[in-house]
Amino acid sequence: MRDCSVPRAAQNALDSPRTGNERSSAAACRQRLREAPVRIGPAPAMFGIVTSPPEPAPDDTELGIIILNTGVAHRVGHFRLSVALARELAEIGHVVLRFDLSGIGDSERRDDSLLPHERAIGDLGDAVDLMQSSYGVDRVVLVGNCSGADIATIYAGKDPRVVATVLIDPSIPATSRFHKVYLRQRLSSTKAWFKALLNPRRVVNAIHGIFKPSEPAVTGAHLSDPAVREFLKDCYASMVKADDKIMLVYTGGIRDRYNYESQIFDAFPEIDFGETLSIFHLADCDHLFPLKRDRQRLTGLIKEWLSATQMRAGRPRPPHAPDETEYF
Amino acid sequence: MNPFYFGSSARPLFGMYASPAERSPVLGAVVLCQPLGSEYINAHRAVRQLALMLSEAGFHTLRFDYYGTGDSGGESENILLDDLVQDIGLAIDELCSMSGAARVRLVGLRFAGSLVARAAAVYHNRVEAVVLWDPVVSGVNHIEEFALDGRPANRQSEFYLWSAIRRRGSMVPDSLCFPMNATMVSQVRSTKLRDLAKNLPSRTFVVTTGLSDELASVRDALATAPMMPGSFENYPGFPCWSEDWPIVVAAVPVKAITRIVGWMKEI
Repeated sequence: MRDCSVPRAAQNALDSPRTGNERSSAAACRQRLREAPVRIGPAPAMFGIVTSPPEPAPDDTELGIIILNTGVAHRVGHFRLSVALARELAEIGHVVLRFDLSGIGDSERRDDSLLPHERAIGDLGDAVDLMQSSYGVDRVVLVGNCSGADIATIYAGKDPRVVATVLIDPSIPATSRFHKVYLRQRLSSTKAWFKALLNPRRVVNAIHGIFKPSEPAVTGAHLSDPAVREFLKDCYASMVKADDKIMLVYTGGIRDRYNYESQIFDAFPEIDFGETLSIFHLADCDHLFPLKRDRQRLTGLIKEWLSATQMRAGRPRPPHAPDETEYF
Repeated sequence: MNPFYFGSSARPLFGMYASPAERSPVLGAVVLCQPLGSEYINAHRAVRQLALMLSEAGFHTLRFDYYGTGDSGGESENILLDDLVQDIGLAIDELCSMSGAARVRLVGLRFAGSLVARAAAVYHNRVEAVVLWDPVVSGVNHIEEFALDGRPANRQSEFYLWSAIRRRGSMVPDSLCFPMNATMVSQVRSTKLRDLAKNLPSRTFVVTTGLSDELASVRDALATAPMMPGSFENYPGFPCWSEDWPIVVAAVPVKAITRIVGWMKEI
């Protein structure tokens, strides 16, 4: 019987959708990528795939990327976005890990008393440890969409090895301007009026939604809760204080939660984001990027941002201390 | 569960192997063939659960990603129907090599039901039994579902998507959620379960979780299949290949997969 306990690395062949010289060079590069399954953390170990570049990044700064689950979708990602992103980022020299948090995908659930997002924070710590110990990565960028963005937000400020986050459609509290923009969009939408006439109850629900917006993907608490806002504010403040760079991408698919570019500044007026935060609005992209052209657009933006952004040096993680953070 | 890559370096396939539980006598070997597109993502948990239960019952199991899908190499717009059937053949060879079994059983969920039916004909000397789990009856309807996959929330993308649907046979790969080349689109559209039924082995089990009208179409499509009496069972429930966010996500049809395991143990 074949020894299945030793994973075998494989090279990828690719027929890229790009054209001309781009296709041939991308194909040549993609063929030299290496992908290997890995086990993460203590038993029952989590499972992930590491995509390694054929050559290290030009400036050889060991900047690793970790791509988080979106909701309960496993490491492949909706519409295979995580796979595409991992391979594109590996092509430009990064080691990329996409993995399943415990209880998702092929990772076993862990029997402990932690809440799901508390467990996720611990899992992410194990993943960063793996990148450091097995791949020589001393700086990590976290990439997450929706719940993955929320987990990255909560974790980043706690671990000095994390130097940047790419947050796609994260949970940001509503502001008074959000409500005005939302109402204006609905009132000017022919489709919304048509639906309201067909089903008046939608109007009631919509008004209710204004005063009780969507729950954040991770905690289940309401974003309108002042304690939740305070919690998120502290998370972002930690990142800014640590000089972590933040790429915030919001799509047209979450207009019911984030509908104007400066909403995050208005939601957290106490924080001076300075040069840390870059915001990108993909108005015609849906939340999960079902169209390939939109996935390519997102991937291109992330690659450009990573290449153009100066990341600070990594710092060692302090010895584990009792976690006194209050979770929701 | 043990992850690994197989196939060739030019065409790597990702697989997840599970050995029979130590306390169970070894009953056989099963290759699990997954659906395509978003159905693959939504059904991942259910397929994994089936693999775990089969492993507990005493089966070697292998679930894998076709080339161009999941964790395997390549891109979906470069694959053809025959490639998917060939990948099933590679998975059969791999599991036979791992387990020492001469023949395997195949499980195909949704469109993989048609792929499994084809594979059973091509690799008939290595396939001893087949399970069709909520098989797709008509490829035409299935292609429409790919095009509508995760329909965008905003007008601009939706217009672009519907424009692509109206072009039908010339669907532009980058406008589809699960990009396919025109030949593959044509092949999927022309796939009818009825045409494949007569090639199924006598040891074929069909399990569905759908509504009565869907059940009737599956029965009708398989009217010419040489199946034994009592090989068709229905356990209505939420389709595991779909989701109704946030109410139903990553559903696991416990009764249906329990019955699949039960049937596997009986034959």
